[in-house]
Amino acid sequence: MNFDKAADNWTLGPVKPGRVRLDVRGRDPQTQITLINSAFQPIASEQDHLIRDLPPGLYKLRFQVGTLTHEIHQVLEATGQTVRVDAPWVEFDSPVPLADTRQALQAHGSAARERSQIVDVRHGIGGQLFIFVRDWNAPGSEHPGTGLTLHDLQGQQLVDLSKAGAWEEREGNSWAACNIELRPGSYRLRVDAGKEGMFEQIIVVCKDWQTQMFLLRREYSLQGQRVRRANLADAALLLSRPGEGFRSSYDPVSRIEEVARLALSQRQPYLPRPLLKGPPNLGFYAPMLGLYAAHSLLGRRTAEPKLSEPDLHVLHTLVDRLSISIPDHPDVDALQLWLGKSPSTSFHQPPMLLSSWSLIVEKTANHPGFVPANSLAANISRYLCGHGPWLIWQQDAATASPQPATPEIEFDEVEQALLASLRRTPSSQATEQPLTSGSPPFLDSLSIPRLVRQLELPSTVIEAAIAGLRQKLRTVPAHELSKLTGQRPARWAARSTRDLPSRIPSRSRLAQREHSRLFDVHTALRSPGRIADYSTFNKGKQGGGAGASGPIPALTVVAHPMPERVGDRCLLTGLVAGREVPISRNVPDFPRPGEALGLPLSDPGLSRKPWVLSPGAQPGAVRVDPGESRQVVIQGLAPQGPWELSPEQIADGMPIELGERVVVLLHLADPSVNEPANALGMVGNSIGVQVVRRHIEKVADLKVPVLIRGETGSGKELIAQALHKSGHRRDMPFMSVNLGAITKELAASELFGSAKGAFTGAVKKQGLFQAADGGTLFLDEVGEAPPEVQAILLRVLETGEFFPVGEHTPVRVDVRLVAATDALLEKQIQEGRFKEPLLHRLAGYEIRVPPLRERREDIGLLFHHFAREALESVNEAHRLKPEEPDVDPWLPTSLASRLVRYGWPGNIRQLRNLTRQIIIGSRGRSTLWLDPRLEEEISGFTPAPPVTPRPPSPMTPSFRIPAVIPSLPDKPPSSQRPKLADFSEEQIIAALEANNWEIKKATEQLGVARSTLYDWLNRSPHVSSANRMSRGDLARHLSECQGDLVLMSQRLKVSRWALVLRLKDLGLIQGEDD
Amino acid sequence: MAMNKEDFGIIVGINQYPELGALSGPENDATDFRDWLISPEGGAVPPENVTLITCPQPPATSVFQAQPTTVQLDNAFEHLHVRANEDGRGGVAGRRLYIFLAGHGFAPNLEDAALLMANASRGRTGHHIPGRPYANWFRTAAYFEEIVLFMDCCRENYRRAPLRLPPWEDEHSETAKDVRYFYGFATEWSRAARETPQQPDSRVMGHFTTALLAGLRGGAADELGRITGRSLKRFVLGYLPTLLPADQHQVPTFDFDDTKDMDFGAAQPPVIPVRITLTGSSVGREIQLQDGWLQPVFGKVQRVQPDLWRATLSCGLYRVRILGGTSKVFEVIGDGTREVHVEL
Repeated sequence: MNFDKAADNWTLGPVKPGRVRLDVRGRDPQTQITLINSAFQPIASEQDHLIRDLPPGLYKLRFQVGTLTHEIHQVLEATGQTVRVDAPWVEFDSPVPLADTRQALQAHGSAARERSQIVDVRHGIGGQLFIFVRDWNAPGSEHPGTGLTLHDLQGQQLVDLSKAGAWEEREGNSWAACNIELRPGSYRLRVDAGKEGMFEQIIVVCKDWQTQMFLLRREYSLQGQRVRRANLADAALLLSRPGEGFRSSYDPVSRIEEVARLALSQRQPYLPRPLLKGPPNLGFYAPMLGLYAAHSLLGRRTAEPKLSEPDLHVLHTLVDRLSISIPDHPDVDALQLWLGKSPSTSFHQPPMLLSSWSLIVEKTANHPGFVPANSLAANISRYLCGHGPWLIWQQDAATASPQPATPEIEFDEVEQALLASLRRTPSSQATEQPLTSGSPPFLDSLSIPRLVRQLELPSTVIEAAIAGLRQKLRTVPAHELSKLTGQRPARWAARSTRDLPSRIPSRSRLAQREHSRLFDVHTALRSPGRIADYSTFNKGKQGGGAGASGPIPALTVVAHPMPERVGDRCLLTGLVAGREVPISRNVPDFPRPGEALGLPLSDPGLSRKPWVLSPGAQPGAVRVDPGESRQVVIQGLAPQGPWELSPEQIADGMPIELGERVVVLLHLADPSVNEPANALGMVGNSIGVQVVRRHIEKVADLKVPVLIRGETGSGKELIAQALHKSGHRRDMPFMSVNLGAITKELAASELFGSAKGAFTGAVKKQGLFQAADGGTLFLDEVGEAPPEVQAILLRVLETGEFFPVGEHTPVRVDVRLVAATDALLEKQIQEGRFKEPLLHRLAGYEIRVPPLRERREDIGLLFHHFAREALESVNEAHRLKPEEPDVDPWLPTSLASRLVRYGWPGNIRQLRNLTRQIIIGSRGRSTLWLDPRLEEEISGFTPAPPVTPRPPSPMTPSFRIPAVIPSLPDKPPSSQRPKLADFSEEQIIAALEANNWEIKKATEQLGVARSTLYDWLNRSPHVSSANRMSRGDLARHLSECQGDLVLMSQRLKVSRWALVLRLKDLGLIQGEDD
Repeated sequence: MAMNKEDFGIIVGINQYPELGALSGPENDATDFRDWLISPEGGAVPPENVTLITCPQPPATSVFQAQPTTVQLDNAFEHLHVRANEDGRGGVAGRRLYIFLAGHGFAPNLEDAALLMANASRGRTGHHIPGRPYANWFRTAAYFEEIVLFMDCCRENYRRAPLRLPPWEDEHSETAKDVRYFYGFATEWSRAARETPQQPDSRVMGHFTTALLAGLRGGAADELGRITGRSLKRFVLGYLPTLLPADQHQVPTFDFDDTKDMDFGAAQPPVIPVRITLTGSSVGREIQLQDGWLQPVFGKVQRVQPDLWRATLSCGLYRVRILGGTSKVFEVIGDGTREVHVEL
């Protein structure tokens, strides 16, 4: 409330007889004050200031700040005097809301408070950076805080936190803390977790404030392995005055700061509107909350392209206050830039909030000069990306060679004071003095008499300090000198650019990429899925990055004994760079799209010896070299030498079976997209799905009618619902009607409603248009609508109003129309079966849904998604949660491979139905099984990719998979290859025994596909599996056979190859001879 | 009293979590809420309309055997789907649906709370039932005229847990906007909900459920004897802090449209026993009790011992003062089963 309190008091006039004036003041403007009577009923509520004339009695006063509440009792006696109450300082018991953080801070609150008040290292003057980390040490080290280093923007290491600060080792509860005095500006905090990743967060230190950062370790289990992350997204970052120390018992503002930060990272509006009304002096005493509040306001623009006048007013005031409180702060500069105010700098320093960077980028799109081409921020923009609410530096691990550290110089207190005084000396005095190492002449500008008064020290002490400082500064490099002293020559920016490490590209090269990079970041900011919750960033593992553009080859896990691995993906950036990519049990990592860290395929049944992918002879082709692994199977065949897959085959997606354990799909993927696989309710990460998601995001908040085209069963209604749920109509009705199923006689009453008695049997009924008022009406199968229905639809679309049947008053509703069809409407128009104007009215925006065969990499995820539902219905959900990694795969690789290669004419609906049938048909079995009818169904139809003739390649002499896949379905016609069903069980076992249980040879003898024999072996109760045998049994047989594995495999009637793997896994035999 | 034959309840209390640590209160909460729900003086819901889901005995030791899981809950809800879609019901399952969920929980986002199922563990928090989306589903489908949701579970923030949505196709009824709702959560977002042995019988119960049931059993009755959503909220917000130790905070949150308040029955406004203990120099001295209008209260307070006075008072603010000496304002709130203790 922005009113004059005294005037308000005056307005109320004198207190009436029998009344008492109660005057309650909030401690800060966002305090909500509620007056409660003795029956516990709220009788008045105001913000910041409440004044009432009340009868004498007992009352309660409730003070709320954000989500915090504090109540006091108030007695109003009939004294005739005004009772003045000031709000208490609302304290809360737990410091920050996050469970982990609270746990950390409750455990270490006193240590954090104590250490934050002591300066450990001085690397400048003007601001402080306090870092507190719990339970973190670099892999291989037990010392708390190892792997944490602070760097300047050029990458030079300033401080090793494990050496400079304090720490305490306690089992599972160690901490390290370091308070560094620094020159205001932006820095990079590096967290190095070794092979598990590295990230660097931009941290801004501002003048006369202490930036406090609380970092935690998060560990989680992934397939039995512990993976650690520096929990950056949940790290707390606060600004406090130096010397105040960390407040372990948080005041409400800090609490709101935390909630606001989380809300910002979740892109949820948190700050309630009343909080933003009134004198917004949040920025004065809580700058971080001021920044969050400003961005929360700007976040409303999603729904409203421009800020409303009141919001704009609040934002202006807020930014004015922030610019006083934390001047020169790049995050404030970004806000000023957006408001059209002149920022105080030219963005030499990057901000720390991702949303601030977004503002800079947004403005730069129209006015490139706002980030000067030669500024540091421009030069490093390609390294910046988002992480939670924060801006981080994408450190390329491959090029992250440690920079030589600047020698650390200790300055005593007097020297620090001198440096501070020097910094206050106008820089212009030194502008013409070249800053070089050596005796700094600007020290002469210090006034000793003034320092005597200022520091209250004898002049001799000050003179000695100046002499000492002069000596120390001789050894400081020029660019460091400018930081320490604040004496910046006019060409500082250019000098800084030259000081950048050589790995930062030259200006001319950056000039070409800079703008697109800025837009990349900007685009990412508009994409919530990009803000993934990973903490240790490793560009190498993510793949792509600034250099990657367009789809690149990738391997996606389609089937794995641990079903949670399905969907994990490895981007084959090495292929794009012309390198070989070895694949084995242990390399490379397969992170889930959207996450930085992942695990290798890891399955114990896979070989440690790699098979290799390399660029093919033809552009876009990929060569598969099975090497010595002998586990690679493509289309049911095990290549004996290098094979080459054509670009068409890769574009279509080629499944590769590995050791009867894992299936990966070689396909093309967009490296820049990192969304969760279920974003917007659509399962999948394929390029096709990503495109659809982008369309939805673009059009969701508009009223423009959308026409969704796609084959039957491809998920059109799901997309319509996603459109509805992503727009501002999400809380309003979503109505759906199948126009193909509606009769022309009832169409009008169904769509527009009817009056009672409008026709025989008619009752008063609300039509679908009215029911969807304010929301979305989904017209499914619009191509099947009878001509009469088309006509009435066209009428309402043209006029915007309609008449319910039997009514004479037109009705106007606010409905967003989404239509869908699998028909070729243009052809129907030519044939006169569909009205062309209706198409134009409905197709304000078109979205094409890709058929499932164009997104084969999603089939594994979709299959497991539907399987999960079906398994729960038969109480077998545990099939997808195996306890041991070496169990037999629940989804046989041959079946997974066929599922991926099948054409799916019925698309996702067909996949869902087929999944259910397989699950139910396999009920009680530990491995999925196909009955002959389903076998026939999925072997019956698979379209081949387009054929492009290719010249023979000298690089692929031994074998090449044809571009046209003649083996689809797997088996050739029965006239050419017999079916396994043609053989009796005795014949099959005899063939296996004759070939020493070698599957490959047995299938060659029988002339059947290996996959069918594997299926048969899995199903047959008369053959055993090495994987199902206990260690004791195997050890006994190994001893009895005296190590003869051929004899042992014959004796046990198991595949010799599987036996060798099993024995090695159990440690019963040694060697890498696989 | 007539029973509300068209009211239904799904009540869940989960004590046993093999991987998250056992609780002691949720099953007590659930059974006590069920008892109130089926009592003619309480919710008056026929017992056959109430589904109570708790952990089977003996407790499971592995998450793979642990129950209940989402399957049991979804089945319970789906019985209501079936009922709503029976011939002649016109898409209406009943008048009011009560959903009560107690156990471990978390908040996948700022708005929601989710009850973790018995088979959940750290890293497997996808096994949960988010109360609000489920309740909202029934609102949107208008299977009931009124939806009541109470969740006594933590709302700690787990950013990585995906929100599990009701597994049913959306149903939008044209009468959805008329459906009344009343949602109560044990605590605010990102905060913990707590349980403790409650007096007089030391049964472990959630603070929220204790306060909620105290309100529903009459503590929340307003001056006209009505228990409404508004009065219930007011009561729980006032009463729950009295159950907590001094250093603990737990602030429930409520969500309802107060222009469409909900009726939870009627009761006589409770009368609450108050014990006033005098200490130090106050022992043996006369006291004066004043009501919220600072008027003396006569006839309701009497000396039992030199240092002990007893009174029976209705809910409200009071002041006790030693004549010519100190005074103290105190709150009388509750359902009459607990004594209010004042020390002067």
